[in-house]
Formats: sequence, structure tokens, C-alpha cells
Amino acid sequence: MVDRYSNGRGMGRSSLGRSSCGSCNSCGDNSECKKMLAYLQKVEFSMIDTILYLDAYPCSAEALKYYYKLKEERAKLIDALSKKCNMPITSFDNASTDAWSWTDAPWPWENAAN
Amino acid sequence: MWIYEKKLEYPVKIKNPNPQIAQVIISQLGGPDGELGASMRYLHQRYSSPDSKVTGILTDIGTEELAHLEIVAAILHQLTKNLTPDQIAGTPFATYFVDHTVGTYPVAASGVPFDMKYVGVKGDIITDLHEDLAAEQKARTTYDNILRLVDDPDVRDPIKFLREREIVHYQRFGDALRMVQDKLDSKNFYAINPSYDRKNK
Repeated sequence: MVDRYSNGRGMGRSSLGRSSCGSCNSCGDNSECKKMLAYLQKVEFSMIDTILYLDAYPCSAEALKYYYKLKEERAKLIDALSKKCNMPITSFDNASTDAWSWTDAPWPWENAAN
Repeated sequence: MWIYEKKLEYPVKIKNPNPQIAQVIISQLGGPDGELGASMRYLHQRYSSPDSKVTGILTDIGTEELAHLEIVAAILHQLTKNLTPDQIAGTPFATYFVDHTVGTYPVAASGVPFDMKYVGVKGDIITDLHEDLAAEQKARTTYDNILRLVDDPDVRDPIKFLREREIVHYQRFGDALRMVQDKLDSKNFYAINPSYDRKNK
């Protein structure tokens, strides 16, 4: 669908940029991948809140234990999202050796990404 | 340094575009108590923090505010992306539209563009933390006002999340102020300039 307020013609591209390498029409559409991303969102939010608490209460053994539990869960999810879904969470997480996946999935502010 | 994560801190999925709601929500992008000001405030205050734990709180809350700026921008983007000119004409959003189309430009709901005058960096940790406590309460009040004006549950849900974070940040800045005050000596009993005055004695 062409956006109402974009010029509809797309950006000028040289023929060099027209290679199909990296193009992925279904990236981010897979429902398992979307579920994983939604779960990562929850895990990271729990970490963000726990980290703020630890900044103020660094001696809380309970908070530190919770932090490590979440950290392990986060690592697993980021690994699976990049390797199984071609959805690197940061541009440092690209997992495919023959394609650059960073710009394939919809951007977070788009309705389709949520 | 920062590395971008390609995800929102909290999901935003809005079904119905609405120019009136967009015109109200935009204040949390570029208004006096918005998320741009919040992130700039804490991330610039941290350089003169004399306490490493307080620096951590300023860094981590400042970073979270950048994620909140993105959530507010996502709400605005989804509220305005598919509006027709007919839906915009005659609404308060029309004056914004004529200048910015449906781009997300940080302005207050009243139309004033973002200004660093909203942000205080005094170089005195006690002064700065008092500003931060007030800022979190002002942002919470703004979110309360938005919730008073907005009915759409798709918009209310992420706004309620953002409102709750203001309350948590207020608690952590309260912890930070206590940490700094616990380090004051008898000469600084009245909580004045602990870092600067001590160095000059």
C-alpha cells in the first residue's frame, strides 16, 4: 500500500541497489516470532525495572537473583529471534551470513510490528 | 554510547486514526513535561553527579525516557498515518498538518516547538534531583490530563503504562536524593552544594 502522504514513487535507486539480496517479504509476520518478540518485550521491561531498583538497592540479593533469571531468558530470546526469525534486535545481532536482515522486519512504531 | 533495540518498551497498536487525540498526545513528545525534555534533563545532569549510584539512576532513567519518547511517537504516528484531508480539516490538528503533514515534530499541544528551557541542569545534585522529582510529578499530571480527555482504549493502554513509569521514576529519584543527603556532613546539614562547596574549603 502506498502511503497517502509519501510521494508514492519511492526513493531513486541505482540498478546496483536492486539486488534481491536481503529482501524478506514475510519477516516479522510469523506468529511464533511475533509471540517471541512480545515475550522479549515483557522480559526486558522486567529487567529495566529491576535494574533501576538495583541502582538504588545494590545489596538486594532477591533483586539480583531475579536479574540473572531474566538475563538468561533475554539472551535465549534474542538468539532465537535473530537465528530462527531473521529479526536481529540490534544491528549487532544479524545472524545470517548471506543476508543483511536488520532492515527487513517492520519498524517498532508501525502498527504491523505490534 | 547507545545501541538501538528494534522494539518498543511497551506495545502500541491503534486501530482508529484520530486527529483530536493526536493533538493532545503530542505534548508528551515536545511539551514542557514531555519525554524529550525528560531524557535530555537526566542525560545532561549526570555529568556533574558526585555519586556513582546516582549517576547510574540518571543514566538508566534518562535512557528509559528515550524509549518513552519512541512510544509517544508511535502513538502519534499510528493516530495520524492514514487520516484523510477531510478528517483533518476543521480539527485542531489542521494547523499542525499544514506545517508538518503527518511527520512527528516535537511540539507542545499548545503549538510551541520543543525548547531546552523546559530542562534544568544546575550542576548541583541536590538542586537537580529536586527538579527531577518535580518533573516526574508534572509528567504524571499531564498523563492524568490525557486520560481525562481520551476514551480510545488502544491509546489509553500505553498512556497508562507511561503514567505508571513516572511514579516508579519518582520513587527512584527519591532514593537518589536520600543517598546524597545521607552523605552530607554536619556543615552541610541544610543540604546546600555538597560537591562544590566541599572542594573549595
